[in-house]
Amino acid sequence: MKVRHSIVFALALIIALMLPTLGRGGAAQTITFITAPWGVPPDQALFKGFQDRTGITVQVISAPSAEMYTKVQVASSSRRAPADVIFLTEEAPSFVVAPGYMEPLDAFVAKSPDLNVGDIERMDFWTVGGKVQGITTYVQLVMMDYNAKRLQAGGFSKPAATWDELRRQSLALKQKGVDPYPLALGAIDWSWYLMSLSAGDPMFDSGLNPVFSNSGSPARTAMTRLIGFFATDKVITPDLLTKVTPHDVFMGGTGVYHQAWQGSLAVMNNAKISKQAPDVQYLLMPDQHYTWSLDAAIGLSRFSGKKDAGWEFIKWYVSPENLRAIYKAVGLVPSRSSLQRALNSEGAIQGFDVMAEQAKYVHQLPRTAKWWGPWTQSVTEAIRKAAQGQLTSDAAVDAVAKRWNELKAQYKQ
Amino acid sequence: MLRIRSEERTAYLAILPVGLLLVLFVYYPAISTFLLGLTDANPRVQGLEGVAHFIGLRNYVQTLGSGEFWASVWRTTLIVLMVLPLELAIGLGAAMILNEEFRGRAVLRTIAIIPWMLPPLVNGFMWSWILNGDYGALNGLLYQLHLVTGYHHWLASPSAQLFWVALAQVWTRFPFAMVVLLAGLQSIPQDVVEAARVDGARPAQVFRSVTFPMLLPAFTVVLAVEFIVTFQIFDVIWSLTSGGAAGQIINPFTKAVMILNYEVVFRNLDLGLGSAVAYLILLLSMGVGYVFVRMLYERGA
Repeated sequence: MKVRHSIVFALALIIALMLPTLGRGGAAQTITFITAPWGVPPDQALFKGFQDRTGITVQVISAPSAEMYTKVQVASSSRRAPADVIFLTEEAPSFVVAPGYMEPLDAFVAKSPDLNVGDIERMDFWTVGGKVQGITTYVQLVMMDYNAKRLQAGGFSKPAATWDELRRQSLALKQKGVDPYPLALGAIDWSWYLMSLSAGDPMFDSGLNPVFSNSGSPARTAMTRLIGFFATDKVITPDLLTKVTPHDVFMGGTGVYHQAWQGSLAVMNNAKISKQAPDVQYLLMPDQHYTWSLDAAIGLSRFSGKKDAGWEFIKWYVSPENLRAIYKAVGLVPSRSSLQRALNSEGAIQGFDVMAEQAKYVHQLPRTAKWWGPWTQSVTEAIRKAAQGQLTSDAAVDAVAKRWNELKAQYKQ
Repeated sequence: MLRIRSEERTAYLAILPVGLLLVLFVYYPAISTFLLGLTDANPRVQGLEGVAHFIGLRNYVQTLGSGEFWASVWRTTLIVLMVLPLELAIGLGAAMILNEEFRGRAVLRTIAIIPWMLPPLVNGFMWSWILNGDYGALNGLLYQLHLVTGYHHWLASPSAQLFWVALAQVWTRFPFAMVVLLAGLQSIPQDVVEAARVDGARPAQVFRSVTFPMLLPAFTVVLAVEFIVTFQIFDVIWSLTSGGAAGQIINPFTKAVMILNYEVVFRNLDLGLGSAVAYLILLLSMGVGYVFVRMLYERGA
């Protein structure tokens, strides 16, 4: 009897374990996709269609970008896949790509003519060490936008063409009671990069030396100006001393000028979520007009055991249908040129002309340097200390230059 | 003899699982971390194929000579100095109220421990919404009561950030103090209290001369535990002032020792240095913890 019971139990266990596989015809695969919140496929019907068609179940792990990088770094450094497919944003070139955690995609691209990779922009940015590390999903210049109606209420018919003019306008807008805090710029690294590049500072030379700390550099002036906005002019809300991005503050109705991104108008002019709608327009960056881009991509973990299924998902993710859905949901400009043109001809891309003009002034920051991630955090710390009066703006620039050189030496040892 | 050996064997077998778990999850990681702290391990610097090098105590020397480490120790100490007295005072007050007989006491006791039951992260987020300068509940309440004329940015200055972190921590942890002190109050023999009253002692005198001395062991337990918990504060800061959900940015003004350790290990992947920082935090905690435990034993004796 005992033996019979054991056999029945063992059979039941085997059937129970195999049933899920049998039920899916044995062909189903489950892969994981780790992404920042804005990388989650927004059109659920479209997403389900992909899974039904291919039999690939995609488990989406959505995490704030810093947490995502932590997971990816910790798992990858111990040679485990944090997920099969990884969304690459912002600091990913430094945190994830440069250390070699991504699978080169050249062979996958070569065998996938249906991907039409020639239609996808900025693939050069994600080609590191001569190998394709990710497929661009959206292109994103860091830009500024402004509320034209509120600017007009302050007596200004045109947005500022220089940073001096922007400061004067902000002070006037504050004085006239249009807005107590007319500028929505965070006390963060991005604000300083944006102001420095736009004022014509290249920030680094070809040997990755920090020229931003040269005496009298535009970046020093930009730091002084940024700190002044917080500390003396008080044209930025104190809430932005602790917040990471200025977007929700601007959408909540505070600010006339705002640090934005390529595609931000689709969000800022959406009356359901933004009090600034429908009067927001882009401005060409002041002074020398330069900015940098924060394109995003999607790629495979080097340690994934399901690379073929992951690649199928990547191809679907960068399909025109999904990129269109993403643009519709969160205003991220698709990486496919054909789709950009189509959206523009449909009148769906607001401010296309300014975006096109801004795209002529791009100066990339060295974000693939392995030490970029730790360094850029130190920039934000220095800005916040300076904005609170704990450092002068020059001391802040000197401190971050020193930190850059220390990290550079450490990483090149 | 055989019988004794058998009992011993049973005893060893009984503690074996716990012993193995301790070795696996406490002692092995602790030793491994210590050894890692003697190397320059950083997978981002050395790459996937690289190896870490033995550098002796250089990480400890570097940490002890680092202004950032001591600044974070100072910030943490400030938080501890704000939290412990406030938490003990509120915990004691709540315990004394809940020690009295009144209608609805059981319900109130349950409600009072809710902040402790909530994860500290949730408490931190809740306080960040309460304190928000644009739509926060605190501003709304004060405005409706005509106590302020405009919304205030509560978390704007570095000192205010530390204060609110401490307050949120007190809110999260005071029920622990309350529960321990309540247990202490209930263990005080009522005949001693009654005798003091019969002798004509006023309530304040009863508290000072009878209740408080008899509560001292419970106070010491609360102090020891809460010192360690507060010294290692992380979640509340993370969700209240560190950028939390959105953030790749760690706020420098509330960078307590555990936040610094997280940054070094998980952001910078500087595993060697981070391990040394972890051991220094452990030594600091143990130093003060030892003082409290000594106090506890002396009181007990």
